[in-house]
Amino acid sequence: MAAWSFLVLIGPVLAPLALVALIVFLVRTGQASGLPLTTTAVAARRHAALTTALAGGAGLFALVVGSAGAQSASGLSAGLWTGLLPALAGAAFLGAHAVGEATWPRPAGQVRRAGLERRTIRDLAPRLGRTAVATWAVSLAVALLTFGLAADETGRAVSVTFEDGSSTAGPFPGWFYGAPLLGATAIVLLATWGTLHLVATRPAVSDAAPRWDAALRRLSAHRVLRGAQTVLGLTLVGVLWFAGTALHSAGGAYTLDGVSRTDPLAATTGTVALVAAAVALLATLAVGVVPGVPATLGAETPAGPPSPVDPAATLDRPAPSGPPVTSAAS
Amino acid sequence: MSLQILVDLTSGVPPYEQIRLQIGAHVAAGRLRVDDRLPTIRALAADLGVAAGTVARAYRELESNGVVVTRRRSGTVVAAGTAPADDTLRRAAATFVATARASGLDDESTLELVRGVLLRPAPELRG
Repeated sequence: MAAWSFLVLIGPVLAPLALVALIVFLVRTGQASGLPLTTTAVAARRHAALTTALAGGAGLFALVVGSAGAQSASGLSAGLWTGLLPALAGAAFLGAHAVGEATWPRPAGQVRRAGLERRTIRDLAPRLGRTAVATWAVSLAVALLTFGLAADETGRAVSVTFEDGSSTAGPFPGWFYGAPLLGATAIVLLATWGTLHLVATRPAVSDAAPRWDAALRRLSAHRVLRGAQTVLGLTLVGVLWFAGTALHSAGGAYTLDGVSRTDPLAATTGTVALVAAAVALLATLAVGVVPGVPATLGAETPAGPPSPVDPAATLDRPAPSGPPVTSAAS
Repeated sequence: MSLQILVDLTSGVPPYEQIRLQIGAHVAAGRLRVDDRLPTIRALAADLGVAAGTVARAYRELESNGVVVTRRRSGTVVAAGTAPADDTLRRAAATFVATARASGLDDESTLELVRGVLLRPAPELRG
């Protein structure tokens, strides 16, 4: 309790420092290696880093406020709020990220460039992040449905029946916890998709090379997916942990009239769930610390005019101003 | 190399016309091929910082010229039947542009030169 009070006291001092450190780290992460950047590109990179830092701050803030709310809640709702904490933090993180993407700097200047490739979420979102989010979401849905069916009629505990009695243990993620968690998972997935869509459709960094703009988008998508997979992964860990503990407790070492009884299936399932929780936790943390690829490709301004004596290069050269070469024919 | 278009807001040519001309040029040069998908109107407008109506007008005119076609599922794509210019012609054009630039002509002057030649009647050109 004393440690908690200490954290509450120094939190307001440490939080801004941590935020500044995070922004500096993120800006450095997205930094090109020695290649000159235009002013617009630097501003875009800073906006991307600030967006992620503020989104992280929003997620942390939601986690702290939610924790306080869960602690002050009484009875059954306390457990429910605790289960929803990762999703709450995730929704705040993704919401803040979406605001950052929606307020992306608009192109300025008299000359604007744009690529003609169609950007899709699939092209931008790194495979590892997509796979992690999909894996955790599907696993969570399967686990919640399974535990929902396995729970007793209260939806909060699991019962194991023996010949001459039964053993009940909880809390267990039955429908009482599972239904809200399924809803929260759906919200997190929708928010992730919406934020990635904003990353794909935000204005291009007009005076940077298209490859650099694409790399910055991939970095933003990586950060979004990293947050989403952490939220879903930790929710899965919690579900598996409580389910495993309850099953292990209900199925193991039940003593009546001096006779010890066990349900090997329930006990084994509980052990498997606990091991799965540990594996999911390690995997979530491992994927969560994988850094994004910095926006280093072609960070310089778009290439100047090619050699005027190179006919092949001339074919690929956009007209520097006014109508393009083909205007004579049209 | 990724295809780009460039819009100069100070140009006397309206932005929608610049977009239309450059997409048409990419198709003519064979850099955009049949069924290649163009960016959505909203995405291209956001990238260029112009109104969505500007891009929509360019796409509409390209569609009316048969250069692109809009499909419900795949969006705006390069239309079938828009064959790029003959390879020999493209090489000749590239060589001409390279020669013009080597001679110190800027692009506008080069275009004026072509326009001047195009104004001559066909028999005179053959001669």
